[in-house]
Amino acid sequence: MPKEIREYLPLLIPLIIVQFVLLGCALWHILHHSSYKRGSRVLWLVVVLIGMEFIGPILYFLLGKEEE
Amino acid sequence: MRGFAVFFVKELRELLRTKRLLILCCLFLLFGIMNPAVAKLTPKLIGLMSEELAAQGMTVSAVTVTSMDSWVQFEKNIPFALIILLIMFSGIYTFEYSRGTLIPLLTKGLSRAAAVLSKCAVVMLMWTGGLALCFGLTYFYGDFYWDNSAVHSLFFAGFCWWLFGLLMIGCVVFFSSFAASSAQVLLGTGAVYFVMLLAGMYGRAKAYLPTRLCDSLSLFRGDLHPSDYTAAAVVTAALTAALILAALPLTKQRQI
Repeated sequence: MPKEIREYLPLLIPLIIVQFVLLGCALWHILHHSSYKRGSRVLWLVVVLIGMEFIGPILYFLLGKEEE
Repeated sequence: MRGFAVFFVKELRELLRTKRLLILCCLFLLFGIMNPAVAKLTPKLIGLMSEELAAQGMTVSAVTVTSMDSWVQFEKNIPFALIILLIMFSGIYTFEYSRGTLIPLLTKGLSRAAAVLSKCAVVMLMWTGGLALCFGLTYFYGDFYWDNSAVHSLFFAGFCWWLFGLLMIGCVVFFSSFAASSAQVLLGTGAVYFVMLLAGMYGRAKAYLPTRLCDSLSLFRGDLHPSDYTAAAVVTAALTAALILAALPLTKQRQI
């Protein structure tokens, strides 16, 4: 099994890095703003953490982030 | 020219600050990695299904994956990436017109043509960068796991998609010059694509239609050669230029 995983590592590593960069950006942004287009801080933290495989942070930036 | 440069930088900064650039980068990266990943996983998936298939009387022999499968995925996925990009930028003009945020700049002496062209340039730059990222990743992994030489005219196929994307962006620019909302812009752009599909049913027109550029599969397999795409490429480039040039006087007349 480890050998099989090693075969997929070149594909997985960049995906994991991108995922955590997005997650970090979204969390940073949520915690540094007090008002959102819709929803509350707790709601967006839950959404971003549950959907941390890309979908949560993207949803936040598209739907929750306030226009400045 | 100076207005163009200033507005161009302002647009880029806006993309950066609204985090749209980040999302676009991630999306194209995701699309680029998913192409080889899906191809790589295909034998595994079929292996998992083989028992079920055997119960139905189908036997599965060993499946060999080549870089061709990865590039077929590329051809299937890149339209979605283009659609997402178009949806994201469909309101880039109409949003500013409806909110009136352009008025202060226009009264200070920015020409409308400069505003239109610099926004257009930003979207085209995003498409160029995104496509390059997606193409580059698929190319790299294709070489890493298999061998790209089995697939014909790769770079030309990438160029075709780039040109087709420019035409779609040209449509957005054109419809934005008189449409009231981003939904209307998207509707118009979709209608143009639909008309091209309908016209493609007429066999003789096929070689001249921009939709020909989306047919990468025949290129990859070697059924068609880059020279078969020349007419369509010329038509597409001319159409793009015409759409953008037509948008300039239309925007000038528009009430902002």
